[in-house]
Amino acid sequence: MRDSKIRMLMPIFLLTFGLFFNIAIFQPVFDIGAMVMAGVMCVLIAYAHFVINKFFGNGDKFLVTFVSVLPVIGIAVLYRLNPSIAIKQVLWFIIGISTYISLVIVLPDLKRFMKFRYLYLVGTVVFMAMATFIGETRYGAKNWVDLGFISFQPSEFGKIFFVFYLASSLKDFKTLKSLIEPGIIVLVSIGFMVLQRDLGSAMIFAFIGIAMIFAATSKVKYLLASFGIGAVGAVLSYFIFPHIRRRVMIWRNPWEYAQNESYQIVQGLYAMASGGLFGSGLGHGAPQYIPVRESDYIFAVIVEELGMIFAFLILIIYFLMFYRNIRSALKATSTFTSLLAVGFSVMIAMQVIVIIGGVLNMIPLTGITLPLISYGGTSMLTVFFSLGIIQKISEEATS
Amino acid sequence: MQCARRLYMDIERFIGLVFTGFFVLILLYIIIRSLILMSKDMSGEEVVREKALQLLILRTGENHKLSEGGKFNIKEETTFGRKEDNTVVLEDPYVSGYHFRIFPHEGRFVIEDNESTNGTLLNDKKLKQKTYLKRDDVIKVGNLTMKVKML
Repeated sequence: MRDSKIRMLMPIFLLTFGLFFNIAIFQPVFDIGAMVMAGVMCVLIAYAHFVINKFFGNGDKFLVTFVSVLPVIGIAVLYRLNPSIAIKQVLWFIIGISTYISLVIVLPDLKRFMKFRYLYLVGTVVFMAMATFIGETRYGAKNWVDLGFISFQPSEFGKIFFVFYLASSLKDFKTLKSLIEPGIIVLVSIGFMVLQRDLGSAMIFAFIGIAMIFAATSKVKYLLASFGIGAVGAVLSYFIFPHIRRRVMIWRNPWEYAQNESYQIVQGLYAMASGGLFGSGLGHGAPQYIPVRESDYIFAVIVEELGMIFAFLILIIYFLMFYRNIRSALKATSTFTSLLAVGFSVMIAMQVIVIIGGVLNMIPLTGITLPLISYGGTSMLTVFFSLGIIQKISEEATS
Repeated sequence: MQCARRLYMDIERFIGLVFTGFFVLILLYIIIRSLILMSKDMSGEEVVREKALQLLILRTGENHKLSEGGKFNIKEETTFGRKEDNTVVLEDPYVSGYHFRIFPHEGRFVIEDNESTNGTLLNDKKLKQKTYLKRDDVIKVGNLTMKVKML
């Protein structure tokens, strides 16, 4: 068993050094900095594997592999785009993976956290509402809060409270009555997101809510009812808010507005088409034409430079990650932890679907980050935090 | 001059492709490797789940429904006692209504006495707390004697 773990570490090291070596040799001068970064990340990844496998062997052994592969790809692509951003991202990766490891080490039995239902409720509402009142607008969505020394997206933290709240309130579901309070909180959260024009987050919250209600009640009628409410809400907000109508218009007809509203979609599609199946090679594409290439549009950069096949394999890794997460949810020993794992895994999976669907223009584009790959500190932290909790849950399942 | 430049571009593109191919192979390796490990994991679990305990009856005592040399296979919680809703109903008058139970825990099996009037003997000692069963343990309840076999 021990040697199978090493066999998983070797390819990750090869991938890391390969990616950064590829970037380094195509610089005018061979870039030592890139190799140093690869070295730092390898040490970090080895340490994470060591801690998780050695001391917490009961838990899920695959999650830590996927959690290392995805940020490595992200940081390499970011380094090719803009080295100074990549260095910041490495810092976030270090903070994120330390959070992940320390959650597994420090956290006591998760079931102890199920009684703070109203604390989570307050946390959810505060973080959701925060940006509506003191937020500032970036890329058309009013979802950033600047506290002077630090700026962050409160909805990212709101997500964590949201999942915790739903898990602790839905765990003792009995009748329709016990669904009223969580239902109102879900609607209020989505409402704030729509007001802040953060439609991607609104969609993610809706799907987390639907998935967790279905997981808690396991009745098809509630699933259908919540989908029905969601559909009615979507249609209503389409007619009420002009910015939603514009998004749909762009989505249905991107070429007509190629110079204005749909500039980024069209540039992204051009880039992906020029990359094709095998890509133009890392460092040989022209990603400077893609807007927001460091965060939301990083998938387009990956397709352009590394090719569609590579991008598909990344999607498979996301899928395997989702599979492992849901598996821990199924094997969890209490309803609370099981619901937590469902909520967090749906959160991550929905982020991937919403942003990749948007970049490929399969659904209306809404700006959110690609988990673990895009540049962004808050997003990195939230995803690592939720994965740490899932890792903890997976451990309780087998012991 | 232009020809050399184009050749250089071609070589660069070729190297880029080789790199990409290398990355694709590594990702494929990681995916396939984890799939193989996952499937091993799953089949391993099934073995654990199918682990069973066998009780060999040495003496039946007054339990006329059982026969000497008979066997029970225990995979899940099994209760023994005189009441009709036990998994195994005993007729021995010294046996309490719900006498004792055996249940699996983390791949092993635990025996617990249910505060019975006449007690349960494990290897001729009175059972006081939950105990993991070992191979060749002898359980005595009233006049019934059983021996533990592992499968």
